[in-house]
Amino acid sequence: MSALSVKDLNQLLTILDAENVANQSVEALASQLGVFNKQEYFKVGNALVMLLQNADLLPSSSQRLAAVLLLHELFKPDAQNFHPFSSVFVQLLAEESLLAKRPESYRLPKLSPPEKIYLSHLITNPQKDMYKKTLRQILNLETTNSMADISALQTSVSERLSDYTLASKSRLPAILSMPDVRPGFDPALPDSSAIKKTAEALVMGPNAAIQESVGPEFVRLAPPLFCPDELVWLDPIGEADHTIAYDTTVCIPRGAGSEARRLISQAFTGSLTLLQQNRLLSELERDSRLVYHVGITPNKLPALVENNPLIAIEVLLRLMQSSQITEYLSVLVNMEMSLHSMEVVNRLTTAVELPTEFVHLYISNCISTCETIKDRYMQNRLVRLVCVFLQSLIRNKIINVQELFIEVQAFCIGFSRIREAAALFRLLKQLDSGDQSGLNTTSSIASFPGLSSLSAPSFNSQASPVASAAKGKGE
Amino acid sequence: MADLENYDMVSENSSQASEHEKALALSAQLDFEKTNYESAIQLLSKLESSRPQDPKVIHNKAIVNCFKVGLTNICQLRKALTSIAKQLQCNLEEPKSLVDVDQCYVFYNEAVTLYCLRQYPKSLQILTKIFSLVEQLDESLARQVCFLLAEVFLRLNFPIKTLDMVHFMETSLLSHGAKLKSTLPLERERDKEKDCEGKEELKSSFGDELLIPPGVRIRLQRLKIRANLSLSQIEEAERELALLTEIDPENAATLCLKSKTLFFKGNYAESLKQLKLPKDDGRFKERGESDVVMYHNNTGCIYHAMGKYNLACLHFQKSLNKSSELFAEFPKPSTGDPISNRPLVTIGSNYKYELLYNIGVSLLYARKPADAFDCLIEAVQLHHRDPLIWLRLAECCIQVHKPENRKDFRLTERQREIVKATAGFASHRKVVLSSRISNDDCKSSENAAIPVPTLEFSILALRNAELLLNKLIIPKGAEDASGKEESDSKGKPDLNVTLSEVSTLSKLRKPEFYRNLKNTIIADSSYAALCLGDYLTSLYKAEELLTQPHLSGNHKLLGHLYAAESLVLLNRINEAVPHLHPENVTKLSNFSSTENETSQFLPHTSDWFPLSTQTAKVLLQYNLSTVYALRGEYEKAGELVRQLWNASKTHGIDVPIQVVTLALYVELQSGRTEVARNIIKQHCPQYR
Repeated sequence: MSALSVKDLNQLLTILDAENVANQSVEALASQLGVFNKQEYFKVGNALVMLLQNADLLPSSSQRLAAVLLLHELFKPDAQNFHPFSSVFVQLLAEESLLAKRPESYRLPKLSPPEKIYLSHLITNPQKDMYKKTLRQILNLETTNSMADISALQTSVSERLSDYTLASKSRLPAILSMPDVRPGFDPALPDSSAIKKTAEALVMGPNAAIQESVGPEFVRLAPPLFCPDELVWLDPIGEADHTIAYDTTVCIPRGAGSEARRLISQAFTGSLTLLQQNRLLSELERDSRLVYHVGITPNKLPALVENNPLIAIEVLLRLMQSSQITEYLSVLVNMEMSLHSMEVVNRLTTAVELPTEFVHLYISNCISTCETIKDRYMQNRLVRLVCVFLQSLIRNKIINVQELFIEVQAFCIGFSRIREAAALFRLLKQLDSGDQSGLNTTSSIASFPGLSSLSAPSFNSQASPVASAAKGKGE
Repeated sequence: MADLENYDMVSENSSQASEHEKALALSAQLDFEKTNYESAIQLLSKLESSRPQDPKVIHNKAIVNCFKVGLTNICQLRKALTSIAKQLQCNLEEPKSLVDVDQCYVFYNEAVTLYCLRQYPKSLQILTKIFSLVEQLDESLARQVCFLLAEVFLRLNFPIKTLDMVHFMETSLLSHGAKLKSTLPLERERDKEKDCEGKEELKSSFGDELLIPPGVRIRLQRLKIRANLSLSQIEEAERELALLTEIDPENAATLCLKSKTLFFKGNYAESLKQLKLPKDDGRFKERGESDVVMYHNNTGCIYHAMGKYNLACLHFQKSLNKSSELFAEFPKPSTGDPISNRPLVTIGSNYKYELLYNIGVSLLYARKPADAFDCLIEAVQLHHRDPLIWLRLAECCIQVHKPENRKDFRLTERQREIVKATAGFASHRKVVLSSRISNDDCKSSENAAIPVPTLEFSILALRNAELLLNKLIIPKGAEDASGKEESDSKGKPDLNVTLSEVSTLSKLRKPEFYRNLKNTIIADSSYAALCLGDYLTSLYKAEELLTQPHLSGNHKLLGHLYAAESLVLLNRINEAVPHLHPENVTKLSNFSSTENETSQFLPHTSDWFPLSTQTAKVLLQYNLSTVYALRGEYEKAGELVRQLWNASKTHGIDVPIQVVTLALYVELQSGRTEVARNIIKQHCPQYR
């Protein structure tokens, strides 16, 4: 909302001109409001209030009265319509004692008693003859009459004000008189052109001073930026590694047999990955006859044992019914003794019943390998392995110690410097003396950890008595 | 299952290849591997004429054709794949239809294209299905599937799954003979003894996996480092980095990961040293990655973290320029096919929007919110499901609206603004007091849906951020890593993940991050609503903020300030008073006291004002005096304002300019106009 136009302000100031305003009747004064556009009335009212608040801009008392009366005449209140400047009148008519308490900032002029009486009657009960009076007459009225009762107006004003928030009610006009009293700036006599200029300056412009107000202000902080943030870091991904794939299985007949054959032939030359192992085992599982067609021969068994002992065990277990099993077993027994072959034999002994002579043959083979080996380090290792292996066999009652007693005892004594051999010897002594306790305590537990988990792919975490025994006696 | 058997029969019949055909297939493959695409196609055509019904032959022909044009006609390839899938009785749109190992190549290639098009969830769906058949895949495909799965998991913010995949590859797919370790106890002992002799670290991680080819090893190490950094497991990342450095010390990628690890440790100077501007960006078309783009971007990240925002912006801009330059070299895509005419590998590696995000955030911190807004509004086009980016947009709007809080505290600068204008001369001189010396209110202006940095837009952005954040499935964080043991025993990792609808731009965050993000969104919403005159909303948001657990000192202060002001403006003035109690100020910080700040990685120090608790208390007291003044208790208000003013004079405590204007107001209201005039003269000597 823009303030009053300069043209309208000038017209207003002309109406209020000190020279001729005093002798006009109220009626004549009010009639001059006709020069303003009706829509501008509120702005005119605002300008009048501003002029009233700044006493220096309305130097004569008749001008002041004229401003009050004009303000009143702008709007005709009735039951439905409320005079928008009612609160101004309430203040103007307030009792002297109350007025003193009012902050000066409202700075409405003090009306003389005749003015008050006239105004109060004009508001409460306007009579036609009241409009005939000139301003000068009003100012000089006898004060015999008393003021009209304006309590109804007061009540309605305070009711209306209660609808407003404290924050809006607390505003004060932003215009403050600050007379320049420095020497050389002596207060000049009221000068209508200076007044006009000042009033213009206050009314003009889009953010005219007349529309401004001051009040208590909160300090409002803007929130901080969200802090724990890091930006997008670009990683080297190797995008080119993820690319379209060429199907390499084209024209390669699918079907269990061929794949198993491929994997078995691979298994002869190197160890398979876990995935490949599982795949091969599942293929063998699917077709019980497949094992005969994958290209395994007794001659190739040692290679399989060395590279993929788990596959070898599985294959041997499946070949148990085969007529060739004796050949397979004799190859196994006679192959060079190694960790893997021992593993395979051990597992076989717990899974199926092997011919006794076969086991004995293998043990003899082991013992003689240990005795003939030259490399001392390797010898120690093999001896320890054999001892653990034998313990496992004994505890699981795979072999009857008595049948091998002499041979094994000689072996133990021969390598008594090795702890495992000494332990095995003690075990033999115990058994010899008929004490079965050492046997019973552990016999229920599968000594070789790998065996029990043959079917499960992973058995890393299984601790076994042998393992812990070996650990305890480790060098 | 019946389908499967049925299918088996079909394929069995059609796949009886003659020796001649086998030889043809093999030489075609060899030609393909030697990139002799022309002759590979000729051989495949021959094969096709003798085996017209073999989908694998058709598949390979489509693949070779695609390679022949440098993988630039992906649309065509996907069409071919779709029709081959139909022949194989499956549907690429439905991973469930994948039942047979012969269908895996088609699905894998679909998954690769989806990955390159950044459709990670779809790609993951397919890959998970293929992975269920991993035992039956030939090794090379199995490996590719696993690597892609690991990468996709990382992109989708499941670094733990990535680590699971890596573990699976190391133990099952690639490792030979590792199994025997445990079968014979003595052997195991021996291995351990050996380990103790030295090179322990190397052994424990490599073990038998030394058999893995170095190229594969490097890829695995890179994945491990990235996943660990994503989990903020910096020590693990460092350990893996040490291994990577041994195999591949000079590679730019190694240095980049080293730099990133140091960056995460907060060692910015060292981090910066690792990065070197590469001389050229060769082979971008084949690699899909540009070292120059990466270098500038990552350097920018480091500078940003060091608080050198303008320098960071410069590097991000260079990175963006280089990126646009590289992509400008490709011919324009043909109409209706936006991904044509450029190699597949470069499609997903256009980081324009991520770079724009980086620039945007750096500009915001460099206090150029309008420019920042322009960058972020572009970045949000792609990342419209990221709550963080919406919050950043809102922050731009707020910063445009109010650039800083400190302004009100610069008394000497601001005191001349107490008087806005004068009118008249001599005895008629009037001064016009500033109606609002610091006007934070904003007139509702244009349509909020227009993306301009206004508070109205910030309200929209904040609402998006909040909705997205609520939808986000917040990961439980690093604790989940224990799940690794489980997958160990199962052999195959569990790939089940709950995909969030919401994407996030960068790494996995800790729960504190999301809490803090939520609080920031609420605080910003309250502020924006307050400025826009929506006091009920601002009050509601402020109260919501105050009930959040783990509230930071800053947010607590703001919650009370906004609540008090909203209450006053809602004319519930008495309720405002308790909010303005000085004890509502605790330690000012961006983090709640329960969060360990030392462990919290802080990229930049906050330059938010106020920094001191004292100033914050002054603010509360000042606002309290405002409440007194509004209630008409001018004496009380005046007294409090005087105290603040004296404290600022004697102890040098910062006070806002509003202390002066409120004093002026109180004097005017109390009828002491002359005192008021003196205050003006004191602060604005020109009105003597």
